[in-house]
Amino acid sequence: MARIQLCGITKRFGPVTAVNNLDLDIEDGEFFTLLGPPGAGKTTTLRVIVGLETPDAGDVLLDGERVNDIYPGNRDIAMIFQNLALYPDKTVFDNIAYPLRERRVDKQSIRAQVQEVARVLRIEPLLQRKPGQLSGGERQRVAIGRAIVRRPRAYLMDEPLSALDALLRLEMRVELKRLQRDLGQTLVYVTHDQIEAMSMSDRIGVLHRGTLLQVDTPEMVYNQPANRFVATVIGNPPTNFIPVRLEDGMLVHPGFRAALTRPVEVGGAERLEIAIRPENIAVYPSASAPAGAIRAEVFVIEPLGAEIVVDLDIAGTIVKAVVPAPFAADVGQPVWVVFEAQAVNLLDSATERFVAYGLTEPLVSFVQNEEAGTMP
Amino acid sequence: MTHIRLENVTKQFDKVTAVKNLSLEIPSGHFAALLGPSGCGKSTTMNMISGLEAPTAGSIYFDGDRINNMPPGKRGVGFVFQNYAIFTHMNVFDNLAFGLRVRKLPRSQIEADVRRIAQMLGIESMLHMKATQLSVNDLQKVALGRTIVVRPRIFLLDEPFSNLDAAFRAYMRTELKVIQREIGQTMVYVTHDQIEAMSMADHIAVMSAGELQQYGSPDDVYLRPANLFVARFIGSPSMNFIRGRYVSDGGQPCLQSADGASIQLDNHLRQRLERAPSPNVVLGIRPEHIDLAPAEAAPAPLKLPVKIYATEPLGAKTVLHSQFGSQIVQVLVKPGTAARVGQTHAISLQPHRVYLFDAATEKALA
Repeated sequence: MARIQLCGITKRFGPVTAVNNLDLDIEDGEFFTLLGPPGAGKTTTLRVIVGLETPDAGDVLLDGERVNDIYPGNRDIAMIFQNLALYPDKTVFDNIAYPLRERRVDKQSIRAQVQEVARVLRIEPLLQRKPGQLSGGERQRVAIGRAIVRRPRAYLMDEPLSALDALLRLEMRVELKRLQRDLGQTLVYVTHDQIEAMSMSDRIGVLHRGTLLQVDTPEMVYNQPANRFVATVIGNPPTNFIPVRLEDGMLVHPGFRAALTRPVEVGGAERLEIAIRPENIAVYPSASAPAGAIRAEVFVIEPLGAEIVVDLDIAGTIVKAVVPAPFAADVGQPVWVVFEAQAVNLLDSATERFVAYGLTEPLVSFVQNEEAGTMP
Repeated sequence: MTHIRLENVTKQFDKVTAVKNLSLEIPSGHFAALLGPSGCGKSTTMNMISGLEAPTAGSIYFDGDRINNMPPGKRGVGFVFQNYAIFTHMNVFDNLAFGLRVRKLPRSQIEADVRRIAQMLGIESMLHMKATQLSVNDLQKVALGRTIVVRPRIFLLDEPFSNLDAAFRAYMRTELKVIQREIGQTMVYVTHDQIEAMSMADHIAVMSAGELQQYGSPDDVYLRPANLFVARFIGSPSMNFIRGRYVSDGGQPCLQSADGASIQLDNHLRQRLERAPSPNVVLGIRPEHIDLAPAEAAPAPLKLPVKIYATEPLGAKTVLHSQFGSQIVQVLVKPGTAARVGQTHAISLQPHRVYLFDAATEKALA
């Protein structure tokens, strides 16, 4: 059981600052994910926690105790890598039992503990096999088994699923989440895959160029991202950004006008962008659209089976919408578009930060304006 | 603009049959995707179209001419691979112009063609940058541009975006579709990613173990999968499958799953099962075609009692992993749906969305 705190951690490699003044408080028993593109500093952060890297500045605390000077082996944290190192000549049982034998645990409790881990991971029938006789997913489970058998204070995982094929990855996502809940121990998980982060975590820390941009629940990073980067990295297809000008309480775009329905503190920003996710845009063919709908033209249609991604041209701005199949308009045809009011957020183009969110109280109302191409 | 036809094409590598008796027709100007897991024969098929591999048996026709023995250079095909081949010592303009200069085109035309392609791809501002100064994403655009600019008869792409990040891949999907529409050339695209195939192609050839499983439009393969393989491969999250046996003797006819759970049938499904050649079937239902119902006692046709095993919020939607007997059935629900791990619920399969497959042949049943 461990609460993990990072206070002002900086780690440099030569001229490169891999992690920059990072503050993080991971609660005991939490499934915490560090999400970011390659080079964001995720793995370095993990290595600082476990003790494989020494920070240039800042402290690492385990349950409130500073562990900067404690040797990795004595921090009692297990790390699981993408490339698992199993002993190829040992059976699954012996691989899992290895850390216990190293600690000279007695034979009987070794047997009991390995059996228990095998049961949790559902690899009991495989205990007498060698790693070479296992599938990729089974090997991954054995590696996890070896890490959890000695009940460390916390687990760190670095892209553990990225070497698996797509279907297996789906299955392991669910298994890992179950496992962490059953064990009840702190898990810090590193991935570049936003779906893994969203689907498994209690909280997500979005890292970019060594800096933490946002630490929040999956729901919050999805609904109220802090800035453009977070809004783009979470969700697929990514959030649309539509440039608008602010004129007398109106957001003006060549294709529409929208009135601000409540005061928004824009701090003197001149260039703003409406941010809206593709799944929050409804598309109506022809005249069946409600009042305030915006005129658009179908630019590209991408069927995905259950859903269709439609690229819409709104007076020169291309906006992606995800709509249910079937879709009744062809490329080049005019359609009418409605933005879900609560899903419209407002970004300051200069700072790339959001200035207001519509979730609890909608920000804008699209004005009926024939001239601007809005549905009367 | 070239019409491609493969007729009973087989490719053997020693003991391994990479492609088995493949017949396929790609109409002129169409966008076809060869889709399947690694080792399914999709790249070998493309290599035979380009001439890098010769078929062991069968014929390949371009616009009706048999081209089996035509060398690759004469076929007029353009390639883009996952690993872009760019001259790193040249700038972007020279990279794009290379193929045109080899063909000794007049200077003014080279200039015009390169600019047009660069504009199409949004890399005009980079024309004088060295290849080494470009990002991976822009390099792949240059690679694409180099192939487009020489106007090949056929455009072949082998997993061109698989090294790129997810957001850029989604962006390039759209770009490529627009480009293909503009240049109007026949395009063959190899991928293991069903989303790429579904979103871009006019026709998809789903391949497995060297054999063509189905060839049809995105709608065909999603709505009317020919067999279990296609049903499993197309769509994400994947279709759910419940193996069972149709039991019609004694009492209410039902579908008995392998672990003893039974599914009540509606009239329509019962008739379909009556017509099936064997009582051993696999029932298929996509996660998006299941509704979450309250866990009330009253049983109903196609209503299954389940326990929530795990929930996966994905932002726009949530995947519920529900346990029916010993099987996991995935259900797609709106975010915020009240379903907690450990709770019991009922799930209701949308009747006209239920697929049936023969358990032995794995072929779709009517």
